[in-house]
Amino acid sequence: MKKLKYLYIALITAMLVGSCKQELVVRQPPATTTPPTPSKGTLDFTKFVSIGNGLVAGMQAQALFNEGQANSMPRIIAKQLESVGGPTTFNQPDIGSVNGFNPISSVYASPVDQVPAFTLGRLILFDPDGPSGPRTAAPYPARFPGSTVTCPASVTTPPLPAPYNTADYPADFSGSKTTLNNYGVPLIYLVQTLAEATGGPNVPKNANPAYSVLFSRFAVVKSPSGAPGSGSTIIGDAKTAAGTFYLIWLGFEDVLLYAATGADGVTAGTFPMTASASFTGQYNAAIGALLAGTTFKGVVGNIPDFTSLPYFYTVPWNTITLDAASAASATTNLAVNYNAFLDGMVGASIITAGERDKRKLTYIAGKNGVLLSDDAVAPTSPISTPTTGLTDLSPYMTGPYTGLLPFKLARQATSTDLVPLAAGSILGTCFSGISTAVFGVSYPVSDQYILTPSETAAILTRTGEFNTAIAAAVAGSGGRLVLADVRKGYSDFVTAKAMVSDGVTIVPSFAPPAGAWSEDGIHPNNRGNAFTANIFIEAINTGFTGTVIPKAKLSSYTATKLPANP
Amino acid sequence: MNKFYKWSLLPLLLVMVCSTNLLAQSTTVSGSIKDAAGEPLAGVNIVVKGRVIGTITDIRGQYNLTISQAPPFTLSFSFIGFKTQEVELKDASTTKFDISMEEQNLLGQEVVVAASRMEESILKSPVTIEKMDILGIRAAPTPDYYDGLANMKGVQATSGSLNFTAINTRSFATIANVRFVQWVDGMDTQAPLLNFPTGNIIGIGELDAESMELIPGAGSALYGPNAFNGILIMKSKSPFDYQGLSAQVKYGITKQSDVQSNPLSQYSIRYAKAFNNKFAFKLNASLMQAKDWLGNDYKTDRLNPNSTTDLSGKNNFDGLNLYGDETQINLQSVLPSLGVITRTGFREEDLVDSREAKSVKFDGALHYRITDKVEVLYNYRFGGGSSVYQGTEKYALRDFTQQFHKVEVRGDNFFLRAYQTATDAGKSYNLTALGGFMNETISPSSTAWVPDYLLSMQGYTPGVAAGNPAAARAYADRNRPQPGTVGFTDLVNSVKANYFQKVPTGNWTDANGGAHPVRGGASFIDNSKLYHVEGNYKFMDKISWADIQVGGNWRQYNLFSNGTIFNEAPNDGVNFNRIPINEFGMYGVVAKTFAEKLRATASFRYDKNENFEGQVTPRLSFVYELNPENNLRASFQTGFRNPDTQAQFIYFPSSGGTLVGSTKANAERYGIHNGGAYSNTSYLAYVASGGSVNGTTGALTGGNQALLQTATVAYVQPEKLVSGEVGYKGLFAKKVLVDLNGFYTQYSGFIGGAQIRSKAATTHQTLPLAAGTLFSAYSNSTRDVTSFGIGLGLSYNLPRDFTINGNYNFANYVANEDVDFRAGFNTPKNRFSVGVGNRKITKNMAVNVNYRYQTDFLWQSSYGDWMVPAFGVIDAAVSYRVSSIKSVFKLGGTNLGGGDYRTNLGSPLVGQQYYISITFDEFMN
Repeated sequence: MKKLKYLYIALITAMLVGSCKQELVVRQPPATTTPPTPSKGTLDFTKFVSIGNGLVAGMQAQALFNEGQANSMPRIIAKQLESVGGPTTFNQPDIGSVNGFNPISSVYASPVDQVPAFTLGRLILFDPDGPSGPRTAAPYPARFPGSTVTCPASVTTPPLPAPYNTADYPADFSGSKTTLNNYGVPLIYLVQTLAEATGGPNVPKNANPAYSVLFSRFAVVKSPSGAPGSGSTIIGDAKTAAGTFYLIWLGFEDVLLYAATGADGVTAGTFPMTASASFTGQYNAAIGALLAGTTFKGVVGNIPDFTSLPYFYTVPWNTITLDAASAASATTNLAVNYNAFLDGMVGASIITAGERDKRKLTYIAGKNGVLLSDDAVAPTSPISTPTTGLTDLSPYMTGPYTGLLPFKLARQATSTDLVPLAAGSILGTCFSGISTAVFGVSYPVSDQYILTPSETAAILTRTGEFNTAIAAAVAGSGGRLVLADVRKGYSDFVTAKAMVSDGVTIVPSFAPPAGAWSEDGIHPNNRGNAFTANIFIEAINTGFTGTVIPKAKLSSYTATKLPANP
Repeated sequence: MNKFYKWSLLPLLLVMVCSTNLLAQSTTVSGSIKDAAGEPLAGVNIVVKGRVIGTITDIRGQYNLTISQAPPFTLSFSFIGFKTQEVELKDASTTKFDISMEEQNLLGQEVVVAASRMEESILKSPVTIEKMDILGIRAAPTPDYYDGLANMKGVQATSGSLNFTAINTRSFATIANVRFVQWVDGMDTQAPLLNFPTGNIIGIGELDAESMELIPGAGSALYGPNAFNGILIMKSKSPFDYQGLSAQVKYGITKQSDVQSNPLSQYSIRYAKAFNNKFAFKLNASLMQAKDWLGNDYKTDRLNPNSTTDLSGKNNFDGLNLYGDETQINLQSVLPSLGVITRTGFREEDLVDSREAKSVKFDGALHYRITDKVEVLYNYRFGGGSSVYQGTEKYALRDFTQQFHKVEVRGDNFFLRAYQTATDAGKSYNLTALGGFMNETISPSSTAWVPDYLLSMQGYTPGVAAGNPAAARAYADRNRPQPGTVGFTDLVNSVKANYFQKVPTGNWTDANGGAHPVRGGASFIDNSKLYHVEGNYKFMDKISWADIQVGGNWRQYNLFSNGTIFNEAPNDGVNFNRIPINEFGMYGVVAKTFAEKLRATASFRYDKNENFEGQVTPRLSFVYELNPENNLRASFQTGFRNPDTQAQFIYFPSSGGTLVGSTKANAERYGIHNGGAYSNTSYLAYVASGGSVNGTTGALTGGNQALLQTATVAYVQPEKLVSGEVGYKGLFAKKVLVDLNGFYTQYSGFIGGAQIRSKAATTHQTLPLAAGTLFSAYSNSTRDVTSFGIGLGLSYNLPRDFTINGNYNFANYVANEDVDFRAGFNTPKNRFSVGVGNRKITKNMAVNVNYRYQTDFLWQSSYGDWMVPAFGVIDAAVSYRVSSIKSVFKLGGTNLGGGDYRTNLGSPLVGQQYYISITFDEFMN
């Protein structure tokens, strides 16, 4: 009996001890990261002033318009500065236009005109096949709705963004010109920021080549004569604004406009590249002027490689898509003749076999390199294969070969050639309405629509020189300025192909829903501006110890609009 | 069909013809039987040894039996709870025997059949065997006595549903336990489509259950292909031996923490009657109704179940009890910020309608004793109900049924039986498919939902904040109906109205009146059948130098799912044909006793399935008698398991690739075996390197082609084992019974799945399948797995009728595991069970308390991997007998005091059950 009692006790104890409930994991809420506390550090953000080009002004889609301006890169930074002592106001010379003014697409009576005969607005993307069409999840930019392609339908080229035909030529800014914060002026060479002529007048019409309607409209004193000392300069007005902190991002156009117009610089409608020595002098002058007699601190942006901009890589080198019949036709009607002619030129020791091989044309069903005119290189003796450009064969295209004259510098693009977005408007169209002379296919596009490897290299070299000058100027500021390496920020982004922030993805293109650039492929869209703003904020936070400006949230800014149905 | 019946009835007729002229002489015995206190005992069995003839005592303890034979013969008097007595009748002069039965509380007196397919003392069984007899069944503290198996030595119970407990022995547990066989009255109760028995839904009701014998470990040598890791043999009560009316009503409640209590009810009735000891019949019916355990784990990510962080807000959350969120949609290449996302899952409780757990059983049997030596019987059995089961995916079984017809001729030394099983899936459906196609119907992933989500994330939806996954999801889900609304019910019904793998029809209308075509179906069809003929003959008196028996069987699986699960019609996808699979087996057992001490048993079996090589499975066992109450045993045996019917003929698209049955007849049409496919791992690495496979031509473009590796997957073959076991069983002082055993098993060719990508394009039922399609082909692993373990059982008879039972099991394994091969051991290393009972704590009261405990273990399954935490369970019951109304009242509860527990990943938490029952038995003493 006693034994039994012990057994009971043992058993009950065992049960109580062993009767453990199954311990299921209690799940903790996911860890959240707390952002660092904002701090102005040693800086004073009570008046933030920005100076620069269209990327500072808020240009997008080739135009300055309300929405772009409201989401300009410095405006975004100003919002972030509010938590570190910045005011809630950030005055910009409001453009007061929904679609703005597109100085590039607008129709001019003469190539040298500054005032267009017909004003067009910002670019937008069109959905070519409408909402019921086979639209893809990542919509393509669309072709200009007014341009109907009558030439071979078998030639497929990418559609392009197109401008609004309702637009407003910029009017004078009616608000206070002395309390502005943003001195960004689109399409402005560095030298123009120092010249009174930029602010006008432009009388008689087109008499003032430095004139910028987009600065003139808010210049405090419009120079009556354009002579030095007679009126406002961009730098001068910005300095007068007496900011406590400056953002300076100058000099991009000095290389960009040249690159965007195909590294031509000579043909009307194309732009030159500024010489390095001139740039260095102008840059030092601008920075020197601003720093003299002031105590502000600031951040200075350098110049991105133009190859970081979607404008230069959206259209691939082999964008010409042919079907089998078109390829066969182009081979029979053009390639055979041109290639035979080239063989003759080698036989006659005019060109080397190496050059001939670069020039020979092949057409296949599928993707083909764009047919282009390369730069002219004078014939040499003894002959050699030119490292850049091609031998001008026009002297030999006589008699039976006269018909080949348009091909005197022709070759097909290779993967090292860049096709600017502007070429999209001509590729696939017909020369003089001749259906057998299709630009890029059977008729070469001119040099301004192509950047050859040597041109690309030259522009990047020049950009590097400019950036050296900028870095030197910053280094010589006695610690008042820090450098924002926008060049690296952009090229890293392009290399990475995508970036994720605040739950949204941005990619280096202008295609919605992730593209960070606006429809022109050069100016970032609202979200891209926030991305750029963060490069500057990061530079400030890094360069000025103790300053912590919170980064802009990319998710708070919209990206390029989805294609609209015409 | 007709042919089959004619054929099977032929031997029966022969027996009947042959036996008629044996009726010559007869002897009649009679008497009365009382217990020690002089009270008459009703229902005592009186049988003639070596014959099928026998009778029972009536309500006054009287019996009367006519035997068509002259003395001498031996009468055996047996009754549950009493010691069996034998009386030899020498001549016809004494034919009246009044017997006084002695109550038995002795251990080690049980007789088992399953271990050698012949009766033997449990002490002398050559292999480990456990038995739950009628007393154990009555005393089981669980509402369903079947769940009491969980407390048995060597048993691991896995609860997938309130009424579906999967029994596993020798590890490698799953809910769909295809390595375990369950017999009910000699019939294999597996559903031919599922290949495993659905617990006790297709079983025997409590009133009719006589015993359950369980052999852990391989039984192939005696029981054929699938008795791989164990066999459970359930036996019902013969209408000759257990007569009269009995009935039971059980009410209870089920309780889970944080969930409303739900009622449980069960009604059972049994009636059996024998006429003239020649003819007998019985009828059984029972109905159990309850609400199933609620599977409401909406925070565990199926792919990261061990995470300590709440992942339910994750973009690609795949909730454990959420359905429709299984497909991992990889948007990394479209937008890196989105990465991998899943659709929004539906809660299990909203998809399994009323969470019905129902079990309906009906059976009847007609027995006729043609002679004293030969009995013929027909048995019809119906089982069905509603439950939930979890395989690769989760299924709601709804009104599924399984029916059996059996005819059997048996004598003391032979039997011949034929039976047919037919299943019907009823309204059963696949929860994963239901959730998935509900989502697709609301908003097709590729054309609507993903673009909506993606554009919202990027800030293109007015009023939806960019970069906010919850807001983007809410917008993409804007047409999703709320559970409980008409729209939700309509959606569930419109998907359930369609069958899986069939072209769907119908529309669903959202709250705004938008019509959405139904994108797929979730229901499945099962009209599979199984035919089985089996015979056994024991050369009892014919051969004296040894005990010899031989047997054989033929079986046909006859599969039909109308293309919803099996791959019935490969060519046109319309006219589906049944799939027959034939197999047969034969065996012989020779047992001989040497020097009255050592008994050696050798069994040998040969099986052949038309799709596989023939298999030979020998078994050799020895029992050495130290003394009559202490025996040593040792056995060596082999086992095999044919790939189940699904592993042979399934074609089933799932989120982990299309499951393809890999028998040659099914798989060769896809050309993915024997080098026609790339390993999925290498394929993904190749794609990640920038490569692509042309869906039409199979041509490779780009990427690093050196990464691609051909997967040489052979057609699936049987898996095999070799096992050795030693044991000791001994009785000390007639009070302590010890059973100790150890085993070591080596498995080879484990059947699992190989994820492969087709090299070339192919077609399935006329539909094209692109090159690079992901298949999950059943295949044999080349890795060997070894498992070993120890089992210790102790029973102790204490004074004043107390008994204490305990057992302890240790199990472990060795395997070379990696991402491509997981053994799925799924068994705790240590587990034990302790029970205390008293059949007569007072004159009319009995108690039974049981506690079991198991340590934590890793659960691996195609459903997910999870460390199952340790848990302990207490079950208890007390019963009180009221003789005046011939009834027993029983009050019991399971999982008392313990918290809710889960036996595996995906199953609901098991809570508590409390119940009270009244059992009436006409012959109760």
